[in-house]
Amino acid sequence: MKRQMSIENEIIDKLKEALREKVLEASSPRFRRVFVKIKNDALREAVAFLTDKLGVKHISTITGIDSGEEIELIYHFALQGAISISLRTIIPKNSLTIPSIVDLVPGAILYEREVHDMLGVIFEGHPDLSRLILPEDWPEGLYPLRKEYSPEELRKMVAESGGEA
Amino acid sequence: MLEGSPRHADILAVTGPITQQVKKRLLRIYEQMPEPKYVIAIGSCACSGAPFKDCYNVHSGVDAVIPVDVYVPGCPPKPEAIIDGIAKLLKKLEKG
Amino acid sequence: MGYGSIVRVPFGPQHPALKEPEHFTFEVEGDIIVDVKPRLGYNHRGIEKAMEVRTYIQNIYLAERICGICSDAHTTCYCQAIEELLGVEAPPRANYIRVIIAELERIHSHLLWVGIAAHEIGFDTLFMHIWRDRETVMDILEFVSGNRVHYAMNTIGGVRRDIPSDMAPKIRKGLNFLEKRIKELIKTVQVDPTIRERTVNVGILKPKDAVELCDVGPTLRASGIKNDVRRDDPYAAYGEVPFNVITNDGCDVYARIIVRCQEMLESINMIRYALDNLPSGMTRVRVPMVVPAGEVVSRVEAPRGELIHYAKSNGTSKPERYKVRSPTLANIPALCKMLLGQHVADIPIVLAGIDPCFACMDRIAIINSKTQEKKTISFEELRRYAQKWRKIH
Repeated sequence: MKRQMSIENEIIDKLKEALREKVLEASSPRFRRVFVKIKNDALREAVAFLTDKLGVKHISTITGIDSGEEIELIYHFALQGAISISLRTIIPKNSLTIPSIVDLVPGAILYEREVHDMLGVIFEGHPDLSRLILPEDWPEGLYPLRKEYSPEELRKMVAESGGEA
Repeated sequence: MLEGSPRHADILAVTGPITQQVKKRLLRIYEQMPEPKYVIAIGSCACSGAPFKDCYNVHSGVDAVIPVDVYVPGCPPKPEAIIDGIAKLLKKLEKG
Repeated sequence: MGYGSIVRVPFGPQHPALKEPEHFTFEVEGDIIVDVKPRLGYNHRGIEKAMEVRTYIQNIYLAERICGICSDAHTTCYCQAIEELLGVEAPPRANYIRVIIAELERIHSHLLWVGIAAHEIGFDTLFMHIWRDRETVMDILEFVSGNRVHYAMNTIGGVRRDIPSDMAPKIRKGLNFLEKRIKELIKTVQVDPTIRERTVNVGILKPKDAVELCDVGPTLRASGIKNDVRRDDPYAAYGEVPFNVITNDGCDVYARIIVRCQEMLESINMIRYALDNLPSGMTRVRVPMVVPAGEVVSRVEAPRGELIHYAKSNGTSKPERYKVRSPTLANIPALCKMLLGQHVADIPIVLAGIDPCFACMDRIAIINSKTQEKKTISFEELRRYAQKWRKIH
């Protein structure tokens, strides 16, 4: 069932034209799915392009992945609720900050906060990165989705520090 | 009769997984209940926590925190099973 | 012994005199809300992490239990994701069965919610009647799947159980009954002055704000925005089963009730169509345990709105990363916006209006803007206050 993937390829072409060498990879594995990897200093430029020029208004969520020395961030947008455009960028663990996009996409506000909770990424310019989904007495600085901890180790650490009757 | 406060309750029915936060409040509620008091663990999570065993914020069942008199397994248990569990408990109560 | 039927009241336990984190903090001037800060986390279990140490098959079980009311939405989204990574497609018959179960779940979820909304307003007779009708859809689901909740119908490669044609008459009978009851419900909602008074012009969410805050589901559609994943990004058999995307321009809680009621009627018709046109053939295909390296975005329209899963595979039998964003989280920013300018007494019905999928609404904090004095109250107390306040105003 192969149809012309004209819209998906058009999106990729337009992004490449606008961001040039800042687009590192781009693909469309099937209809209504686009994946683009960009340099991390191009995030705001790429998001602004999506919202201003392509009419993208919806962000579905932001995924954070611990890949060892780095954290991979994937911003999942949806064009007209139909075409999922996943914008990927990589930031090094020794410099775990990236600009917030909340002023460009207000709906991203809780997704950035969640990635901060779970992986420790700092979104510069975010109005409130306080704890969102981790429990009140969760130890500071313990980011559960980091690969260095197994679920069992996390449970032990929480039991030890959470410590109550 | 569903009671508003633990101080007037005879039976504590507990459902759902026991997370770190729930542990504290469960113990407090149990301590506030006057004797004689009984506990029913409803559902597989309350019985043993088993479905969420790799989830770091979930601990084992209710009986790791407070003593349990009746276990109603199931995910979720059917209404008939819950009624059966309560009926068993009431029989236990009658026997004294 | 005569117990009658046991009614489970799904609101949190009482916990007097316990210091707890609040899930919403409201700053007020007088009794008008001027700021809302969300802070969730009561139910955080750590499922995404757990999924990394379990096989793809084991994770179906876990995905189903992310939520008790939209469990089928999660397994549909999950199984689709893994099927795409494997490069397989569920057979046509399976896709139609997926639609039938998903729409039955939608009816269940919406009925449950309308009952709760009635309860929030203090209309307990209506709440009881609706929840009794809800038993009919749960009976159908139990008939088809063996369980009232967590139907375990989906597997990677298709569905685990068939819906043979001799099951259809009983399903249709249940649907006919539900259709009648839902039509009556809509009439009641439209004419009852109490319901209208508590919901019309309450919790207004302007279309511009709904879109900007990336709202989803019936809440979004009740602000006139015609987005629905079933139509925009079709999956299962939704590309073939005709249906209308229900919208309403009311932008208030009343509109959200009407949208959900009409969606239920659409769901009934979709199930009828699917039963009438159920393709013959297999209900599942065999799939390997090991999933080749890759990534996938999977989206479905859960009862509460857009549900999105993202998966990254690494060539083993366990996922590298599995991300879940449930629709309720997407509705929280819009919820905060629609509460601004509302009376404290409207908090319960507006909160309920987005059909939140967390049990942790049991405590909220209210801060006096001028004095910065903070008071924490339970949701039950707030509900009672709201009902009393509404009688006077």
